[in-house]
Amino acid sequence: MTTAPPLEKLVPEYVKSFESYIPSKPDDELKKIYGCSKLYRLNNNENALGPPEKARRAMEAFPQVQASVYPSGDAYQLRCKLADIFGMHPDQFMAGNGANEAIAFVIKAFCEQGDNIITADKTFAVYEWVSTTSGVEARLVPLVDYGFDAAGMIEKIDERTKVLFVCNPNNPTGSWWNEVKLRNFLDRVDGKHIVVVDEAYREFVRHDDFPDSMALIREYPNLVVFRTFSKMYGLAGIRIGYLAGSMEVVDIVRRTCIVYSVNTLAQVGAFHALDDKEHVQRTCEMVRAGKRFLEKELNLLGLPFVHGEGNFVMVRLPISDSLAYRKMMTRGVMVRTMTAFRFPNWIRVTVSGQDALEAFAEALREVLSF
Amino acid sequence: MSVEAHEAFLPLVTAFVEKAANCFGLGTDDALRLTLASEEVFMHLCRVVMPSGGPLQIVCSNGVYYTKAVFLLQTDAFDMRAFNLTVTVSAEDEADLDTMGLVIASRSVDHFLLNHEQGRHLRLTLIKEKTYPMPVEGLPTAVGPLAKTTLRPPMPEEIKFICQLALSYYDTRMLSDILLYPGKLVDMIKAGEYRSLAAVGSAGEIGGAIFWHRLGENTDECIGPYVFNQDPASNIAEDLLDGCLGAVGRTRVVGIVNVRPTPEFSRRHFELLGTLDDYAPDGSCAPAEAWFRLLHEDAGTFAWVHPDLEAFIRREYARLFLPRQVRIDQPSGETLPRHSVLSADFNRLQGRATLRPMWPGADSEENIERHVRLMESEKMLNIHFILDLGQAWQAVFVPGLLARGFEPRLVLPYAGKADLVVFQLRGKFS
Repeated sequence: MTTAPPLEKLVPEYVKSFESYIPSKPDDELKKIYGCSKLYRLNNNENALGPPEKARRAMEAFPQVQASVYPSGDAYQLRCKLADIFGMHPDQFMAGNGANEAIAFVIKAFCEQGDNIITADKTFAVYEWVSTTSGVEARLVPLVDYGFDAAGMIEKIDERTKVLFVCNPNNPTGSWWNEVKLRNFLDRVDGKHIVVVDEAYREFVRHDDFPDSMALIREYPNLVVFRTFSKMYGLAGIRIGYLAGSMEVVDIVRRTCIVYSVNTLAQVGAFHALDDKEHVQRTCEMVRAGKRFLEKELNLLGLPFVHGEGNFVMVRLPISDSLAYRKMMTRGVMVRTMTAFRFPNWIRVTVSGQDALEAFAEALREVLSF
Repeated sequence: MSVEAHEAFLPLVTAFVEKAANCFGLGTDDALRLTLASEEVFMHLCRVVMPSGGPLQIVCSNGVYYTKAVFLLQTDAFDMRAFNLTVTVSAEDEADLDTMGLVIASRSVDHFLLNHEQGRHLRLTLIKEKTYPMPVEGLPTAVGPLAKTTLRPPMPEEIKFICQLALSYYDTRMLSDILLYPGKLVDMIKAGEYRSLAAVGSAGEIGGAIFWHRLGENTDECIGPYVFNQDPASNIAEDLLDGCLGAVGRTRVVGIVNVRPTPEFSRRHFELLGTLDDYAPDGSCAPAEAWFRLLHEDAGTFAWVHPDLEAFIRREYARLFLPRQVRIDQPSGETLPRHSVLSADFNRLQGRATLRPMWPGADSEENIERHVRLMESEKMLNIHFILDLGQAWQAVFVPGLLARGFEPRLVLPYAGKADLVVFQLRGKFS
């Protein structure tokens, strides 16, 4: 009989104290568990329109035999295309298996045990998770008026600070920094630390004073920009995102990356998605209309809500968010509970197609009147 | 320490446990009690369980407010009967003499735990806590209403002060046991077993506090929030609760319960699980509400349910919208160990006793009866039994519980391997 491995000795202390992430079950399992025949997924800010038409066609035409061939290890063609679009060098880009992987690459590249990263307390949780599992302290600064607190973040900096993460627009509040604010922040950081601006929802923003972060990289070589194909471009299922930065910084990050982590189909889909301007337009129109509908419905219900930029709205409930989730699931509507984002009793709903939002509004009315 | 199960190694075993207990800060008397318990367990293992010898591991560890000695071995020949609080032994009976050592061991420590894992791995845990004094009588400095407070973990001296404040401003029956022993609470927080937040004014005044700790594998228990002489319109209680939820929200913990809520506890963001009858020595009875909320989306789980409990369980799951796969289970003639084991926790100050199954056995019904008689003789007014629906073997206790007058009162989601059911013995004052 084999004995159990001596995990006490094998596992690093910082991993012992960490708790594993448990993703939700597949849709068919959830439908079975909650007894619903249809499920509207309004929990992950996915694009209800799916991938852009050009990306779909390219993926449909993908020769299956190519599945036996390794992908481009560094997403060469995609990087060249991004370089053309943004007027930068291909080596200033790096693709990852979703933006989550890019977060891990950056932390691995710049941080060691005893270092710290700085971000907000109520934002995308992966910065905090990855740093904690890497034995790196996550210093969390409370939001101010639902937005990142630049001064608060600067105050937390010390000699062991390596990376500052700004989610712009912020998930889940939708707040955002304009170019002046981002420049001021970068000026105060003074090039001494890496500043990551996560622009997962950038393509949903239609404000002229939203920062042109790619252009700012020229002036601020410590700036790293994250983008994803999971939100606007509807490719969440095949996992692809990228980061951009100065040649020197990206060269360091590249040393920590996992080669071949981005599959060929994802590279093909992303490459062609960038060509489809009409898709972006249609998605933005859907989100605008959806937000108008939700504003009206939520006002009728008298529920406070917060939304800025991005395809999501956060709603404060008079009951527990997790109870609302369970009740809404029995009605075939899946939302995101916000307690894990440190917004207890709030839910976040993806601004989706009209049928889904009507189902959401109806389920919410029933749940609150129950 | 790895050692052969042979009496010759007894001095080594006792020296190991005693030295460890001393190093970990247990007082002389407490260290000797743990040593005595370890000695008796080791001798029992050598003589009765492993007469042909065999490898044995003993692990001592420091829990700050307790020292733990764990015996790890492989066997399926271990009769646990002696670990029942109710067991009696006769000096005339040779079989009883075999169990005498275990009886002494179980009475010498504060807690014992038994786990029999797959592959015949037996884990027997003895826990001896340090002895702590109750707080000194006397009203502490009064706290005035605070215009503004911020949340932060309290310092050790502030934790003790919070205990004094809680005793001043709250009825003892409403207080959690942990607040009755300030030094122990400081150590439990130092050990990482409990966490806390205090609402602190600009000059360091304490306006309120909240505590929480892990209860089972997936659930935390929240204690409080306690608010000391503050404006009822202040947000202190809500802030404390939000701070607690924010702290546990990004952990693996699935849910949080509060089984002794204060009046300031914000019920609207929690769900009522049910109530227990809380009998006081003066004969009065007040309902004790249990509240909970999940922290994440509920992905569902299963529950092993005895048919006699099925109606209650299904009704509660439907009322609480808990997605559960109910698996009906009951003994079907399979061979059970002769003797079941129950653990018993007493809170004599508040007249509460809680039983939990440790081991199944053919005598489960009689064992429940013996324990109830003992608790009634010790004037326990509130007797509870907690059953884990994630452990199918515990279903064997259900008929005995119902027959003895226990009622299922509430379900604690995810508080054990799966959900726990809390039974209460119908009180004499009801």
